[in-house]
Amino acid sequence: MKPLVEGLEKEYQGKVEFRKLNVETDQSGVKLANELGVQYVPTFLFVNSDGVISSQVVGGQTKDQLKQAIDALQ
Amino acid sequence: MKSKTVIWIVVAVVAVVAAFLVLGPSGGGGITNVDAAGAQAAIDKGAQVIDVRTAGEYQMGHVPGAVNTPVDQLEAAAQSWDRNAAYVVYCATGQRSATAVEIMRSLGFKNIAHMNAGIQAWPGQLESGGQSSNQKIETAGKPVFVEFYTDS
Repeated sequence: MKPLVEGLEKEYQGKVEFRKLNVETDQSGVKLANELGVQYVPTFLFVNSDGVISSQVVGGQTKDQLKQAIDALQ
Repeated sequence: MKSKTVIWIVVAVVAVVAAFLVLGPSGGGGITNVDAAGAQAAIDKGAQVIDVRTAGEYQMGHVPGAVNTPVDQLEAAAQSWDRNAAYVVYCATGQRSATAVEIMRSLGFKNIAHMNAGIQAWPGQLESGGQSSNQKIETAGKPVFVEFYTDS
């Protein structure tokens, strides 16, 4: 998923903030995952600008699926 | 006299090998790949569940009763385990647990149910260090895309 996400990050640069959290090495990522009840990797959260989680998907996704969820954000 | 002794030794060896093949190690468990139902069956019979993912992944959710031993710590940790006991081993997708099973096999463990599709195939409830919530995410005034991932 890494190249796909990096491609999207460039595509949405300045419009959407990308936070990539490695749950093996990033303690803040582990903490947030615990708080949100995230159980699997990869898990993707799509968060509106007001901080409300719009959607959450688990497992491998296509570029179109990720773009659709990102484009739905406000 | 010598030839009789040799014959008895051969008979004894054949008998031991035959008994081993018929009964199997530890009562017939062996080292096998299982699906979630097979893993559950092993657990119901008393198998110890070993989660070989990282501590972070384990905290996010694990099979009830599982013990966390990350694969890179397994060889050292397993030295003190009962090699004749039954185990269920899993990771996220089956990759790390395959390595773990090979390590355990090399150490002499004989009864391992390898859940080779990983925890993502587990249909039951998971024990977790956290629960889903309506918590908000801090933002800088624009939408946020969050990815939780591992390199392995």
